[in-house]
Amino acid sequence: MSEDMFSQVKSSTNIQINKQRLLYVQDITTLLFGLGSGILQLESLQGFAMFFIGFCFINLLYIGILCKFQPVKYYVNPLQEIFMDNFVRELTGYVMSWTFSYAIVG
Amino acid sequence: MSILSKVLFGVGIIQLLHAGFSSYEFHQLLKSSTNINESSNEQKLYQLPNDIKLEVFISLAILTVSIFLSFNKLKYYPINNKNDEIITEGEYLSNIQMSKASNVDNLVGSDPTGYITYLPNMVDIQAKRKEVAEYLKTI
Repeated sequence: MSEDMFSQVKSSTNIQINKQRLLYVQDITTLLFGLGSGILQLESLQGFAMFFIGFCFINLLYIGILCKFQPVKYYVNPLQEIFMDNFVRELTGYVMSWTFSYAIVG
Repeated sequence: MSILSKVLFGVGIIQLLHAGFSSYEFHQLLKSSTNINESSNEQKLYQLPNDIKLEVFISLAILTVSIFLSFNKLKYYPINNKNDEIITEGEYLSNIQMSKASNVDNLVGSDPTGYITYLPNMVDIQAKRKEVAEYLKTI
């Protein structure tokens, strides 16, 4: 194995720790954004638009503040891991809290 | 989680609940005072007041700030900590490059392969016995 290949070895423990931190931020913020959109009584596309804007905004903040604009140092494939891997999970959590607060308030 | 983060989180949650309650009251009032058969133009007049909308957005902003403030820079306590020193690399996340990740282990004095290298079969028992005997003599 050449020296260059050794330099590409990744620490699986640190990869898992970073993923857990990202997941915590995304989980809690999407649930709160869902509550907010339910209180605002957003419907159909407006609600989903709020999710997309909020999700992208939070991810960009995460990259800026916690990753210090260098996500490559902390994630193997930053675009996929930050924006795509948890997308469906966060969308379902968002819809759950959105409909919950929508039904209570409305 | 720092105290500032906890305070901001509390303020944000209370503000969000207050906005929710205001929105609930508004919709209850709307239900009791409007006719279902009203035209859509008239119904548009009864949108959620701007102050409630603003309250929701501000509370979401405060909550987001509090969540990001809850992250502290990673700190490590060395195993042989004689001077009560705390090691920090000034980062919020752990570097995934193995060459960088092992830096922390070296600084802290931790052996990541210790669960193998300290197995009884891997340890030089004779040397350890000699070491213990010398230690006991010094007491």
